[in-house]
Amino acid sequence: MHKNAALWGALFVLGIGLFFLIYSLEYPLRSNIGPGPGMIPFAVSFIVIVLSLILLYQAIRRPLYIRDVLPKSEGAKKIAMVLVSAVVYLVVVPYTGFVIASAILLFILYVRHYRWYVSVGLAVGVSLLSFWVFDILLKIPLPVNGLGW
Amino acid sequence: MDTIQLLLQGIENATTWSNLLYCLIGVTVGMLVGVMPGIGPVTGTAVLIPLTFGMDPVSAIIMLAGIYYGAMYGGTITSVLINIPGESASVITCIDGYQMTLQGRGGTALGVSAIGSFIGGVVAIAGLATLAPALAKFALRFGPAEYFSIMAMGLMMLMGLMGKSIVRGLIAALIGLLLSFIGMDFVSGESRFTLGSLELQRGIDFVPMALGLFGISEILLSLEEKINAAKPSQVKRLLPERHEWKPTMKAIGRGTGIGFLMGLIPGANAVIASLISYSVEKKVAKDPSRFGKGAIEGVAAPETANNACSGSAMIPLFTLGIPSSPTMAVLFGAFIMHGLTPGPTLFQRNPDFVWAIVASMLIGNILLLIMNLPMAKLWAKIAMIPYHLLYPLILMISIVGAYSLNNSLWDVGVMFVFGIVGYAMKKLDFPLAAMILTFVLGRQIESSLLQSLTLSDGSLAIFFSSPLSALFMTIAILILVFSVVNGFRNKRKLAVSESEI
Repeated sequence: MHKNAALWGALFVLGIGLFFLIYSLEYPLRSNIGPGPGMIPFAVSFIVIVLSLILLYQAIRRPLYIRDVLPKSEGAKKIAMVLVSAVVYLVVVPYTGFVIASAILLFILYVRHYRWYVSVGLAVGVSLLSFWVFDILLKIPLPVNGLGW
Repeated sequence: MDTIQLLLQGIENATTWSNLLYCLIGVTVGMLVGVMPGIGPVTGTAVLIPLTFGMDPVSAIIMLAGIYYGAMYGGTITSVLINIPGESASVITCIDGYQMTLQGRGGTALGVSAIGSFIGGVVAIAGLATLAPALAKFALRFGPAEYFSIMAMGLMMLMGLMGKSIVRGLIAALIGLLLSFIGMDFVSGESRFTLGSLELQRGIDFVPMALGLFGISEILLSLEEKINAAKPSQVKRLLPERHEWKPTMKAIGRGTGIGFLMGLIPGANAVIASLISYSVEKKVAKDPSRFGKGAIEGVAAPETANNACSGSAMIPLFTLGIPSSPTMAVLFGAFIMHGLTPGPTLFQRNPDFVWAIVASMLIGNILLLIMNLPMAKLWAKIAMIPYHLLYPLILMISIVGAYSLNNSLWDVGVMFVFGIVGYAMKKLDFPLAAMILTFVLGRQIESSLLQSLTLSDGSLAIFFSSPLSALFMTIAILILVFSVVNGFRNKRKLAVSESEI
């Protein structure tokens, strides 16, 4: 049961439906001019819940196993690295600023494919170049450190 | 006469040096996005939106629209030369296009696609110029009930035509709608579903959401597959043999018609247009067995259709304010960010804007024809850049795009969350397109529904009280019933894979 990805999906949808349904009760269903701000969210989340029950039924009848859905080892590692690099980026960027954080992100992703010194070169070069393009050339706001980069 | 005058004025606006440059940038990025697998037009347009903040709206939309139709041209090249569709509207082109390449006729396949795309694109623009003003005038009479039912019809068409499970389609659409409710409600002034968070107070922004759902999830999915790009073969002889001209032009004609009509229907997109036109070609051919073995019509018609469709898809956007595909939804968002409301009033309030865009599309198509005919080989080389070099760059550019929208890391986080959501949705076969469309249209859907129900004192009968609204609603309900019945029988004739066009 717990290996059935479709079931988890259906439960997730059910959860979203319940969240919005319960939350929508906080808002008036009717107002003095007609339907209130809670009315449509209530109706929509109610339909979502009903549909998620159908999905639940389908998921039990036709399971979709997690191992068939998730990528095999190599692909899974790559995907994990993307997510890890994203988390690292979000954690460090408020302190280090755009250039260093981007270089770290790129390094994490490149080092699996290139020698470490090539990866360092690529990472630093690309982040400096993109800083130049985005910040100096195009004047797009970037997350920068106290020194402005 | 009036139209021609306005169009001439539009050409004047579109041919300033800066607008020509933005048009060129737009179609070039479009070509890149089309050629490179792993990045689609939704990501391409969404990433560039923050770039356009400093521009005036005309230049901004000229550039963003260029990405959209440029991608239609670009996708062909990799489909034909290396059997990898750069974007989903060119999937069907792989079949006969790659066969032609194997027979040493890849150049001809590219040549007829470029010619067909150009003809389809230009006819669609002509249609846009002639039909849209009248349609917009007509749509001015629409009340909230008509609006709500036409949106319902469009969404049902999208779900019905995509051939996915209708339950999953509806769930995706309704969750998109629920997400759009987060934040300040403009009707009542109440802020809803914010969990007390200040960031959620202003709602979820569609740019990080689109970047996550389409861009990040696409990266994650592409990492699973090994993309083995073969070396593209020599491109020789771009034009077909003399005896092939007649059937090719006929196929281009049919492709133009089909693509144009499909673009008009809210909910039908370029992928569907190319699929339908391919199957039509197969049906009208004297010898259908040639298809799959390098039939020139099998390349010319669908490539024409997807381009014609991308042009005429502007019609529902400009006249009704209804985007018919995720890329259109992003464009819709860009309109609003630049203070323009897509819809029937656009033609009255901002005629300069509309006609400049129309004219720029004409120019863009000419630029693309030049880029495609002599330069096809160059683009194919870009597709050879290894993906492991490319995707970290796409990731970084997406981060910049999400961040620069509001100068906030919150949006970057939102993008990654929706990246994972989009990845899971694709794995579990939920259509992403349905979710982004209802999300973008959320405010319109809710307010038109509320207004209708207020007018009718809460009775749903209002959607059947005017003939037009009744017609739209009936079509929507018929599609729903048909899809449910069909779902039970589990027979889907027109199963289209997830697309982001």
